[in-house]
Amino acid sequence: VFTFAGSDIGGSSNVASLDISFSAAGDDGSGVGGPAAPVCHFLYIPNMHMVYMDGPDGLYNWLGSSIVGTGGLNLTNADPNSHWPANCTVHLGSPNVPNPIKFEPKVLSLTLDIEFVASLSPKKHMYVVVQNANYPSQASNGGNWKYWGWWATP
Amino acid sequence: MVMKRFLLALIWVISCRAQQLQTNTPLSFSRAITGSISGDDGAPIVGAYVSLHLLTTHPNARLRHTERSAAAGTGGMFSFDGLMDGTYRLCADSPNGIWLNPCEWGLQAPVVSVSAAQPTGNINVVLKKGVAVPVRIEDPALLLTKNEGKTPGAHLLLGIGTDASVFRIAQIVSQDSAGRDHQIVVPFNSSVKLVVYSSFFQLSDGNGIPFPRKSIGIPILISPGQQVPIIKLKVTGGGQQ
Repeated sequence: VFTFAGSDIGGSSNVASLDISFSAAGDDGSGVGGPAAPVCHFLYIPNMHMVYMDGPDGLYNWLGSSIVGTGGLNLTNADPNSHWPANCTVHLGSPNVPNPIKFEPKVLSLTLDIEFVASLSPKKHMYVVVQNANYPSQASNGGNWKYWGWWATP
Repeated sequence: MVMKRFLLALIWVISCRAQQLQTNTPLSFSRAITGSISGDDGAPIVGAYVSLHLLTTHPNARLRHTERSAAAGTGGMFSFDGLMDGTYRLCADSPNGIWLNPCEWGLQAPVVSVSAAQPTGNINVVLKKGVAVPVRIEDPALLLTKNEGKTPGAHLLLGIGTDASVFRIAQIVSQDSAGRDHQIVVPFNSSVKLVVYSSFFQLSDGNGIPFPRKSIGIPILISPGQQVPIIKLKVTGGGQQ
C-alpha cells in the first residue's frame, strides 16, 4: 500500500491531477534516467475520484479507468500493443485501504493498494507530477517528474 | 540493569549526534539569482510564474527547500535570495499560457550556478511562443453535464504528452448548452497527439465516425502562420462497457 501526496497553495481542492510512475530505470540517488519504459504509470483525477491506467510504455495509452474506493476496479497495465508485459495491478476497491483519499487544507493524499509482478525490476523508482486547476494550469517541479526515491521487493 | 542499558544507549545517541554535527558541512543561504522573462518577440512577460529548482544534490538537500517560485514583476523581472550553493534550473509559465515553459517543451531549460566564488547569478529567460489549439466537444444530449461528477466513472480525459513525458490535461475554457470547449497549448512545428479517452462516453469525430472505446491519439502539427484548426469531437452515448 502506497500513499502519494500533492499540495497546492490554493488548497487541496485545487489539485487537478496526480501523475504517478514506478520505473525500473532511474538512478537510485537522483532519479536521472527515469521514468522510462517499462513503467507502472497511472493518473489520478481528484474531482472525479478516478484513476486512469496507462500501458507499460508510459505513452498515455490509457487502458482503463475506475473510481477510487468502494466499487473500484482492479486495473492492470496489460497492453496488447506493447512489447512489455503487464507489471502492475492497482486495486482501486481494495479492503486494505478503507479511506483512500484524504483532503487536508493544502495537501491531498491518495492511498492505493498496488500489486507488482516480477516483470518489473525488484527495485522500483517512484516519480510524481502534480498539476493544479488554475488557468493556465501549473505543474510541480516545473512540469517535470519529481523523483521520490525507490522501493524494492525482496 | 535496565537503567544502565538506557544510559548507555543515550550516551551512544548523543555521541553519534555530536559526530554528525561535526561532520556536516555548514550551509550558506546567502546566494541570489535575479533575471528577467521575455517572449521571443522581445516583450517582457509580466506576471510569469517563475520557479527555481535545485539540480545539485547537497548532503542536507532533503532538509531544505529545493524549489522556490515567484511572479515576474515590472519588465518581467524576478529575484530569488537566501539560496544555498548549487546549480538551479529555471522554469516559467506565462499568465496567458501562450508562452511555452522551457522545462516542458524543448527541454533546454536555462540553468544558473551560485557559489562562494559567484554568490549572485543573473539570467534572462526567453520563452518561445506556442499555439493554443481549440478542442470543441459537441454534446447535444448533454451527457457530459448529466453524468460527469454524478455517475461514478463518467469522465472524459483529454490531454497531451509534453517533451518532458508528462501528461498535460486539456483544460476546459468554456461551456454552453450544446457542449464545451477545451484548449491546449503546443509548440509550432512539433508533432504532438491529443489523447482522448473515456471508458464511459461513446465519442465520434467531427464527421460522425465513431471512435473505438480505447485511447485515441489525434495528431496535431501547426506551422507558424497556419490557421489553427478546431478539433471537433462529439459525445454520442454513455454508459459503462
